[in-house]
Amino acid sequence: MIEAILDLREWRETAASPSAIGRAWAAIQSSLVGQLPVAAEALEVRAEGGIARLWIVSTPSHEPIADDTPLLLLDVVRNPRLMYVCRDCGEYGPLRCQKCEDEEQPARLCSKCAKTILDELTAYCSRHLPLCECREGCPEKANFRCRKCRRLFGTHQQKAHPRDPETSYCANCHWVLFGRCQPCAELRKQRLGRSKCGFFRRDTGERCALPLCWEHSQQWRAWGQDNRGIPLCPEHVKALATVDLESILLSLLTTKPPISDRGRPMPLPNLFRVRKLLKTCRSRPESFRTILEAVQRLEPDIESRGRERLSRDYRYMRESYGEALADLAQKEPMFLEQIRDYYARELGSGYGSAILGAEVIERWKEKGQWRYRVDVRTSLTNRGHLIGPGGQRIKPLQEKYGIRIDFDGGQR
Amino acid sequence: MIRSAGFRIEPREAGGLREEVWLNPEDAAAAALPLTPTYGIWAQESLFLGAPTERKAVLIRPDAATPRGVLQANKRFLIHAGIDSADPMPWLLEPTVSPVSLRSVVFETATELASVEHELQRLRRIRKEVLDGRCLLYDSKNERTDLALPMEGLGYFNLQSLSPPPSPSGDATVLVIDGDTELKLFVPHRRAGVDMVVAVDVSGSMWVRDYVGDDNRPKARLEGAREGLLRLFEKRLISGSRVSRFAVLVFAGDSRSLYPKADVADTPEMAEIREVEQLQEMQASTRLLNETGLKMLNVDWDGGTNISGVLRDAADLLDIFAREGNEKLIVLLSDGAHTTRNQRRRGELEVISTIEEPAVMADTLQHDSGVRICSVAISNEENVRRYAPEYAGRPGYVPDVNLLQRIAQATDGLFFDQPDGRALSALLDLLGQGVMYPI
Repeated sequence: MIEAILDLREWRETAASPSAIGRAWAAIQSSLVGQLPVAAEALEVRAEGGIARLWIVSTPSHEPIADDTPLLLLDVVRNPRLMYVCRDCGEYGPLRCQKCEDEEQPARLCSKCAKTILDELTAYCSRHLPLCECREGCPEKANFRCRKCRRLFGTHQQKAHPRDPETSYCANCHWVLFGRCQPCAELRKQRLGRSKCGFFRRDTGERCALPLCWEHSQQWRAWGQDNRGIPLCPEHVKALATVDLESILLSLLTTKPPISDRGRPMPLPNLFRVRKLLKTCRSRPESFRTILEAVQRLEPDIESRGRERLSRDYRYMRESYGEALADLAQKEPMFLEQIRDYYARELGSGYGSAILGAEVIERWKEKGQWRYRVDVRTSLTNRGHLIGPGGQRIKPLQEKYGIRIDFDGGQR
Repeated sequence: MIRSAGFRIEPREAGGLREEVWLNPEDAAAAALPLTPTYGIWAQESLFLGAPTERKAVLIRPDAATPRGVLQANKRFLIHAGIDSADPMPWLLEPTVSPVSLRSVVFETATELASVEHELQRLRRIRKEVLDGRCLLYDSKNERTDLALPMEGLGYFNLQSLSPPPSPSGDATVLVIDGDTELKLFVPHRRAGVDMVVAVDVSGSMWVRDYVGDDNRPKARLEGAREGLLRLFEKRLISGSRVSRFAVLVFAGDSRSLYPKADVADTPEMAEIREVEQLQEMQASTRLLNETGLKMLNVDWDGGTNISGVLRDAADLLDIFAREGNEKLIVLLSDGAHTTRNQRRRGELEVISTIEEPAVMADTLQHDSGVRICSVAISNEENVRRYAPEYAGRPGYVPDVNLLQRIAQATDGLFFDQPDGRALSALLDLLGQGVMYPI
């Protein structure tokens, strides 16, 4: 019995299954008859299906192969069958364009024809490679994903991390992260400007966003002493004194509030807090009504932006400020009357008529009830009588009506 | 049992990747298969000589729409399993006796920390479509860690753990994920490290001897800070840590780099943690935490305590050196007594410099740079009264634990009262693990 190995590497049909091997054998076996088998040499058969070789491993005799010579095929040498073929170039195509597959189009691609996004595993064909997302209609194909915003961008947007050239950002994120502090740059210093001025410029319709280091950024503490406020550049700190109220209110509305101890964003400062804040930085005091009117004037500005959260916060501001003002309109004359009556009763009618006015300057809730701080204007130079020794005259008044009283802007 | 002889395989478009096949009910009856959907094992001879038979778990669905003599299979399953429907190797399909419905599965996948939220939202949205009803084969001959579920477009999800655990004996078990299976995704932290700056207070108040360590004897607060620092090095920076870049700053009125050594221009940097030998350098650096050492570092310890200033310097380092996706962490070892030369009365103005108030500064750092601050209070008011009463009530010497607490709170950080071994260990352990998210 002749032992041999069948070599089908130059046979056109890929012999990947028993039936394919059977077909190849049927096509060549008659051509082997009459050929002389020599150990370690190959008998070559050229047939319609290609070239087949029979490598003789061992042969018992030196006689030509006859019709009835028994042959034992030890193995079949064949080309690997290319199951995955690149649809563009016919080479091995291990990758697939997902979009093509969704469209039920041939999707197999080789590593040369497939397009990829830097550091990502998804393959695309050239038609489905996503476009740069820097602006609507940018025609450039994307080739990287910004490590911060995770959006796709083309090469024109690619900026490397200053210490890690393999990490790429889009131009905007790079500026947010590594933009230099402008006041420092003017002093020829190099510092990152991670803080961005939060002042809202109505002329551009955007925040000032000047990059500032933490030394040059200032905080307008709209949410209290220990909380982050609105970061401002030196120019806009000065501007607070004279700029229109609407810009200030817009800055407040567009700043991300700090997180409270309960883990929720802190609410917008109320009407009283806003007036107090303005008092320390404006060249002239603003009345509650002026503030509310400024809020109301913002409506077209806010609505034109179409930002849901901004609109919601704005509506909350307008309604709560309006409600507070309406409450004051009712409460202030009532408090004036009550305070006058009290002092007339306690100290005599002269003291009652010395109370000239009462203005609510603060309102807060205590056990579900509104409490008020009232600034009382008097014609008296010595207010000691009104307060009493150790506050014994003013305390019953405060307790009776749930108010706290200051005289003439806190003077004693 | 069904054999390949007499059956043709046909791919069937059925949405996503799912291990399922369909056959005509008459074929199923002829092969003594149940007429309801049933799990089974598909075994196919390998194309490679001598290789073992390849086996997959599948759901066998009798379906009258499937022609007789045809076995329809999920198109994407065929692709993933490498089955050539046109010319398959010999195969057989048999129902399994007892598939196991999984109560809970924890997947582990290579998800970058930065995109975890996005991935989770997507997985929760598509769970029913891509995970429910999936099955996989547990082969007792293989290690359990081989278990992985192919996910269309998402690679493979490795099974970190599952319940009930499959029996180690027996031949093979079909494991089934259904609508009731509790699914979790484990994101190991090692894929995103921590970049850490430790800020050690060395101001005048740190020389007060009211720190009580493990030996129950009062010693200087600075000694407490040094102990804390050494614990940190030993515990966290040895092998297995996820700390990637590291620096230690010492501060009083100004800050200086203790580790790594600053360059000639005195510009602090962060060191990349690569070798265990670095630990020795770090430990050696703590020997500078004394009068002579601090003089060598040019630290003026009588220049006040500028906590805001060191937080700014630490954050500057992290902003420049931290790797994208890594957690930025500042560990503040201090007594919290914040005194700078130009102090302003609290609440005097509504506009202040960001750096003026440490708590505001911390809140701003979290907002602007995503920095977390863990603060460790060295000593407290009670210790001053007990061990150093001469300093009680002296501004600048009494620890301000509230400030340290506020700083940690403002940045989602952790606050620890005194750097005893247990407290620091707890802090450091929290830095080392992965996070489990429900899907």
